[in-house]
Amino acid sequence: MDRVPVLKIGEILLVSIQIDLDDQTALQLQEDLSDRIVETGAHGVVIDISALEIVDSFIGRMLSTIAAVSRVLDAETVVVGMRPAVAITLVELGLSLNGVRTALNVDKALEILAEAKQVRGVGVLTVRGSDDVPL
Amino acid sequence: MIDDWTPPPEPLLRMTLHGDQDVFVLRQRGREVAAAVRMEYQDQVRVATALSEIGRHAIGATVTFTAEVSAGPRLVIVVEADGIGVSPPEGTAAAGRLMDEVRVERDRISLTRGLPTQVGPERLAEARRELAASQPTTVLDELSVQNRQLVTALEEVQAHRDELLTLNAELEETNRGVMALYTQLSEELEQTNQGVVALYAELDERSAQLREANEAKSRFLANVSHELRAPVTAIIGLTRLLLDPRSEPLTSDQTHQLGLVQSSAADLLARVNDLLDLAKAESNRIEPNWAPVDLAAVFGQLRGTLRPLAKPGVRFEIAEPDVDQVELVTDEVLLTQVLRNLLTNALKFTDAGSVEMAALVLDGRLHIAVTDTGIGIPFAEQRRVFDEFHQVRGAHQAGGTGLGLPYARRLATLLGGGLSMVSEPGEGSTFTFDLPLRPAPEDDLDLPHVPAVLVVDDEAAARQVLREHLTGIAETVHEAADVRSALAIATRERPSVVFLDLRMPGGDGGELIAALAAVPDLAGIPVVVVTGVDVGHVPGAAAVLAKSVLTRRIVADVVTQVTA
Repeated sequence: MDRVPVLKIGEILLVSIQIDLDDQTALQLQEDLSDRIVETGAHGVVIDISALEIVDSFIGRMLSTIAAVSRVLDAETVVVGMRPAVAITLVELGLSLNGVRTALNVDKALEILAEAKQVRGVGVLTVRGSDDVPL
Repeated sequence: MIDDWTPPPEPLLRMTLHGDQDVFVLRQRGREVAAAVRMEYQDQVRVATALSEIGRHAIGATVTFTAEVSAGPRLVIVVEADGIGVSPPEGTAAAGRLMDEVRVERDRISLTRGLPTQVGPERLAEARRELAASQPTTVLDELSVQNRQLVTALEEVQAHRDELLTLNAELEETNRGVMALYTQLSEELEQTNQGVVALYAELDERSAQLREANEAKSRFLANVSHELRAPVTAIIGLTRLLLDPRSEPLTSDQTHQLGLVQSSAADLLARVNDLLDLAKAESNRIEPNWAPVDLAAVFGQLRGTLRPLAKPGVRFEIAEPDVDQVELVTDEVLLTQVLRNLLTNALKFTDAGSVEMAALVLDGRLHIAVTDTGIGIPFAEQRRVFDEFHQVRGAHQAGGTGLGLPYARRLATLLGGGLSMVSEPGEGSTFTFDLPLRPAPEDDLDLPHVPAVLVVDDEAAARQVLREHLTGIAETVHEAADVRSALAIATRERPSVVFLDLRMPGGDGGELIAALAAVPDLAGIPVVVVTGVDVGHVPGAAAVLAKSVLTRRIVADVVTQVTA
């Protein structure tokens, strides 16, 4: 079974999904990522799905779950690089990636995370909507 | 909505969902099919996602991709499984949002999506070729194909195994049959064996009885002869006294009658002596006394003593033996007895003609022939002349016990030789005595030699028998009558072999065996048990001999065996 690598860059964990995810690999990633957040104390997670051609309801739910778990572990999750076709399909499916922040690319994601850290520094969590893919 | 839809005959692709991995393959293949029929990218993703949604909950179903070009080109995907439409899979509704139409029937779910208008039959044929060429797309697919083949192979193997098991069971049954047959045969064989063993035992018993009867006969002969000799001798003595000129004068009648009594008594004595000789020979109590013999002297003596017996007109001739250069080793007394016996017979039955004796050496044996021109022996009787108490009927019954020839033959045998006869009734007979020039080598030459032997037996006679048998084998023969003295002698003399009787008053033979085994220096001395009772195997004994069948040969052999 394939495993998706989880890379640590500074205080950020970068997950770059370069293969078409099957269910087992997706579940494994969810588990690995949680362990790594606890292990590294990372404050942000960036998930790059630019290689994913198909995101069905299962993968979508998985992304939501990762974001929720990360948040509980004190890390913000940003999904980046979603293809337009995938986004359209998601919408047509009626899926909203609840609680998942999205960005167009990794640079934007890092900015979001840096801001969030500052905001968190004063104890207030604000949600910026301008960069979000409309869900 | 396409209500008049009918499934086209040639699908683009068909696959079955065997497991989770196939769902993954399904959505990839779905996208490939969509690409092959020139759907735009967004639609490809839609089709793949829809298949992913439905396939996840439709394991076991068969998925068929078909393209329709007539009445508006469209892609139709049919998911088939028994009862799949009764409660549609979770993803069906979601798939419906991505496809133009989703139709749920009892055993199938059909997904339809329109195709770009420029797709024609040529394009579809090409798409079919492309898809066929790319199948199976993934290693997993191939693996699953291989897996299925493996499962089929395994099933075949299982079938083979079942067949083998059946065969095995049959074989086992056959085996059991064979075993049963074998057991039955074994039992029958065993029974037959037991019968044979019993027969053997009976034969042994019979021969033992015969041997005993024979011994009894010999004993009887010896006893009777002894008992008869004394009174006969007395009669002869008393008759001689009566006839003595110095005793009271007798009438001529009385003198004549007394003369008859005396000659009858002398006859009787001669016969009794014959009997005694035979009994002695039979019980093997005659041991040849081997010594160099001067044959010429023997012949001379016979010539002198027997000439008076020749009837008038009968030529009696004993040729000088031409065997001077050969040294003859035999028993002179026995040889003389045999020859005298033959000559006496010849002289007795020859009224005219000649009685001759001649000797020659042939093939290392001495042949002595006694030829007469007497009455001869009828052919019917020739076979029996050597039987005891047999007398040839008619003219031969001139007197005698009928023991002469059997006795002579027995003596000849003792000397290692034999008697044979050729006779022509009315013409005469020739008796030939052939004997070895020296005792047979196996009698003495290969005898074992040991320095000392201890004989333990409470009966002096039994010790004497063994002592005689051991002459020439053992340098010294020590004797002991009981276990205690035997142990003392064994310790002092260190014999090479101990001959031991088992039943002795004041200590069983087994005690001596145990006592010897207890002393390291004496433990190596072989003990030969000599017993009158059948004891079978005796623990600690090197060999067991039966007293009744002791011979010099047997004793020699056992000494060779236990000292080897």
